[in-house]
Amino acid sequence: MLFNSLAFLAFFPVVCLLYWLLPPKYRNGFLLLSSYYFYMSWKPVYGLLILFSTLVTWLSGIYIGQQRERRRKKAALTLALASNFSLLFFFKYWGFFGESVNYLLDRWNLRIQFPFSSILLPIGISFYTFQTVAYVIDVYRKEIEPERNFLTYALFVSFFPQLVAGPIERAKNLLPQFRYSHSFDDGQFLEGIRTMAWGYFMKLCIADRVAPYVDAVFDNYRMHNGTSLLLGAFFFTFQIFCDFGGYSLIALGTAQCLRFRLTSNFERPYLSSNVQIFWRRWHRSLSSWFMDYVYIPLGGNRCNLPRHLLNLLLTFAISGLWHGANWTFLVWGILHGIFMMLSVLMHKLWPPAQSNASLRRAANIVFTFVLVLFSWIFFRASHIATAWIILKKIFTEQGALYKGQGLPELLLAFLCIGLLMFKEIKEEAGMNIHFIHSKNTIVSTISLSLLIAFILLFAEFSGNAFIYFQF
Amino acid sequence: MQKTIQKHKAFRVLISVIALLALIDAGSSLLVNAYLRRHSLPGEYQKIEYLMKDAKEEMVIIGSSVAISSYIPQIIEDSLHISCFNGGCSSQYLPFFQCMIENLLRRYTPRYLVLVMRSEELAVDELGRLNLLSPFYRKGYPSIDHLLDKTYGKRNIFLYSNLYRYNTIGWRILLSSIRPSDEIGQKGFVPHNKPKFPPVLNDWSNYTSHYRQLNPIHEECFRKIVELCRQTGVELIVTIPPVYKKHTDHGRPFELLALEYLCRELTVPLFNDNQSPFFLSRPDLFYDDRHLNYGGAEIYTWMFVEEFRQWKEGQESRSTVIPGSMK
Repeated sequence: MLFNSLAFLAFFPVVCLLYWLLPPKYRNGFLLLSSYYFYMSWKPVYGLLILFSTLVTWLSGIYIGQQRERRRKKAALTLALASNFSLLFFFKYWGFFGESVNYLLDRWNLRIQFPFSSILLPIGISFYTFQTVAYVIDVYRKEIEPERNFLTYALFVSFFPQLVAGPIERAKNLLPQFRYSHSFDDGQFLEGIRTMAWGYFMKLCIADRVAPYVDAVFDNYRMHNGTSLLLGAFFFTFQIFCDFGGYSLIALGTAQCLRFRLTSNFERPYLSSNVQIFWRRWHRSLSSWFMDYVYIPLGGNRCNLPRHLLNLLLTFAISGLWHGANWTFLVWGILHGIFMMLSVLMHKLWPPAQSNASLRRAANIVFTFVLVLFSWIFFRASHIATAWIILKKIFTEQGALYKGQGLPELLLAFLCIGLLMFKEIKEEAGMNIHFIHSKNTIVSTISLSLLIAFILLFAEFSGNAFIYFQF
Repeated sequence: MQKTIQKHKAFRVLISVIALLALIDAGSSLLVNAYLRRHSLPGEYQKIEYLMKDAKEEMVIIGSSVAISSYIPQIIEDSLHISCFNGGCSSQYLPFFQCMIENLLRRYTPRYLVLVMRSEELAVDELGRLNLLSPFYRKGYPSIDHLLDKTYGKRNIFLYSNLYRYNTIGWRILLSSIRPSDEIGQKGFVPHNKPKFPPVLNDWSNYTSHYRQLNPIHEECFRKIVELCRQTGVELIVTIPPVYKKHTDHGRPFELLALEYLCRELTVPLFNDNQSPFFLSRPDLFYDDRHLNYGGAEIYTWMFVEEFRQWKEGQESRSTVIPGSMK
């Protein structure tokens, strides 16, 4: 069930209403059923996968919590990690692995074929695998107590607002919220609705509006000149942010209506003044996951400089592969790893100057945005060679701009992006002007109505799926 | 008590939002209707409206953006001495064409209907930008109502909202008041500028179609169009303008063969210039791989006129499938 589908528009109010009408002791059970219904509406059989992952990690957690012998704890942890990552590998990377092996065998003129077939990736597997794995590791590290109630734990894994594309919640944040009963709070409820509305604006008015242009130029890159490809890359930069950021806001708002608080995944990422800050603001739940479970165990920055830089590169390469089974994602991850390495080196060699701060900051923001924009080309292109051709064309072939579905559509996309950036800059500058989030009920009500009217009037209702669902 | 008031507050806010939305919705409808009393809808809506309300030409061309940029009605009028209108609409497919033709034929009977198709027209999955029809929903056009009800399914409840139905129209009206775009100024023909960097033929030497079956929805629409024209006595001509893609499969991919077969079966003349060697050797006549630029459109329209004449002269004795005359 997509957040931007008619089914969800019916599902959410019904779940919300029944949740608040039910006695508190039945609410978690009801939410669990709703979450499984939400997930299984894609393909019922995938419900078994999530159930398997839930059972394995729940039992492992309890076993690890009971054992005192380190060796046994480690064995249980290894078993839990192996079973979860095997599933992820099988569904997500098996086809890619097989293709790559066959390519190498072919290059070496060996007439052997590695048997593989492409399998349909279960939606959200990367997200809930990381969430359950983090839980087991946290129990192993004694950072949290194992959850003994299976129903509560199963709800933690499958909670529908964040199930298919995150935020990847930590047990210490989300699990306790299922342990006590919530009372209805109209302020929280309305705030949730407002957050959802802004999420829908980002998804429907920006991500889906620029999608046809992005698809047209990237899928037929040979037919387009550098100017059109640059605009395509610019639009994709906003498409991916608004698609995923919009999804995250809808997830946050949905949870908030039920009085749950999820991690905010994005914090004005395109106003970051360097790549390090960008990664503190972009997909924060994943970044912190990689920080805690990959980067720090590798040694983090508490080692010599070459090892520190290598740790960064490795972490970003793995993060790239997490996004998808394709070399383009790996290159995208490595590229960001290199940006991070350079950023660390530059900070060591030339500590940031304090003078002329605002001008310098603005220049840094633009520079970081450009770096991120060019890296997205690798993320969006189907092959590395394609990305190179696109980059080459951007710098060598200028010409008339391809207008896609027409100039009005392009201008409308710019208008919506302008509105988004106005809000982002306003928040970054700490300006105390609020519209939908105003404390004045009249202002917030009128603003919310106008925002919904704007969405109805200017959205692209194509019913596109969210990009991050494929990861 | 306070909790009850708080609950009432959330309820009140939600009701206020709905009431305000209803007000904005009604207001937007009043505004658009007031505008429409003096002006026609902007952009492609203008063309749809013209086709449904005012068109009375002897030859009407129906198709997608390929049609818009390929046929210059003025040349057809001057050479064939019949009035002509190019009713092409961007990013549309057979369901839209069928709907337009049904509406057209309810009002008057043109002598010729030129259905401009792409080689893959019968096989594609998409249904096109049918939301372009939503301003005309429940405005007395049964075929539009039927098509939107069928494709939108339960989503058609949104069509009761004026804001949804007039999605992006306000914006287009605003832009057209600043920079007027006259879609029907050149009788529906909108030229594409010549690109600075024309496509390179080598890029397309290995183009292979991936279609292996026809889309039953599109096939049904095509059959329905043929039937409608037959019932009303309109002479239907199917054309496939040139593209800048060299097909493998000896230039006859599955979907093209299927279209030829269907035209033979239904005895509909097909002017197939899809793989015209002349155009394949002239990248300077294209805007991109499937759209001709102004120069290309001029040459192709003359080619069409010639093919049309040949077909008229030997209508009774000739084969129904007419290969491109200038190949």
